[in-house]
Amino acid sequence: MKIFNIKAGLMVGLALLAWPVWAQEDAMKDLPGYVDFGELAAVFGEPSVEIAVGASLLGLVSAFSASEDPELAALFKRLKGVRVNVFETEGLPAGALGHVRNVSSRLSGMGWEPVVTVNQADEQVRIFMKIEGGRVEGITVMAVEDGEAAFINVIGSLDPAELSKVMDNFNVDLGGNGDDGE
Amino acid sequence: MTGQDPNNTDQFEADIQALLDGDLDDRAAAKLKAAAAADQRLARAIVEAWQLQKQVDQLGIEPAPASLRRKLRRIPLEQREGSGRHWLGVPRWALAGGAAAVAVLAVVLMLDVPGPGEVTATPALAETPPTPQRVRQARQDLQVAFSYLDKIGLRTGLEIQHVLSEELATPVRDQLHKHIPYTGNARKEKHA
Repeated sequence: MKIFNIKAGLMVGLALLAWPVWAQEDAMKDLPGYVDFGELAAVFGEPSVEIAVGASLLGLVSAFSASEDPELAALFKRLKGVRVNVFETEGLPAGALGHVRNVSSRLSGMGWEPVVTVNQADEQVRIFMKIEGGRVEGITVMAVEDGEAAFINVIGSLDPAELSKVMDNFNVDLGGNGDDGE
Repeated sequence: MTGQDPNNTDQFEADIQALLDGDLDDRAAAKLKAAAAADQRLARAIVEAWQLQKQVDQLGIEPAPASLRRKLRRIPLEQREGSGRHWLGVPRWALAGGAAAVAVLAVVLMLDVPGPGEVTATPALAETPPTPQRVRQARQDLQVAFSYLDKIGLRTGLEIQHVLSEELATPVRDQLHKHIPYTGNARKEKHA
């Protein structure tokens, strides 16, 4: 019984930990830049990184960043959501490339513009932008390769040129930045 | 946090967060109260977190629980002001120090857990005001998110550079899209 209670407690705890992600996701679903990536877990398994930051938290991060970096704060203020799902995979899961193609077709049908497409036997990258009335409403990135799959959806106005400015403020090394002689 | 046992820091941090969220039960609240009465740093940390919460509320993004707002109003104005770094790692507007007695009093007020009739933050997570911890977590999340974007962008850029240098190394005698194979695939997907 005690073991059961511990397990039940852990399950409830994990559910509560995941709850903010679900809540943030729900709040973004009606935005024009939101992308439904489909059943990623069915293809890639459990995500190793799952991020969903909604408009209210972005607003707060913007407010806290205002004094340190007004440019960064202004960028965060324009964003309405940031979602990331990263999967560590063994090799290239069956159906992974097909899933990317299916989502890409759906996005194209919904008016998303393909900006970058990389098709290789062991790597697929798709970058889409949703542009409405001359304004960027969202950016979607799907990158699947041997060992890792990343699905990113930035909702709101983000000029890709601003990305380097954002990165100047952060110092996170995720490895494999392509500077390994590729 | 206590000065004697640094391992308690995480637990106290979690308790303070639960307190701000209105989730701390009576027993844990009493324990935290006792610890704060014996530890000025802990007491001050609670007040600082509380005041940061107040600042967050003032941003007008989401309303704070009514019970917390009422209690916040009881804090003398001069205790809300200050400068420096917050102990969670974000800017703080907390006490400059030396106000331990007032801090303990504030803790006592805070630990007066709301009664059943009062509005608290517990009913639905979506209604809870963002806490300092969530804001800090959000900033870290954004770091990771943009790092992945940067990583993919960089690799893609190198790939494009590679293709262009290979495909356009020889004179282009045919239509350009035949020398850049990816555009053809993208078009097929679009019309699939």
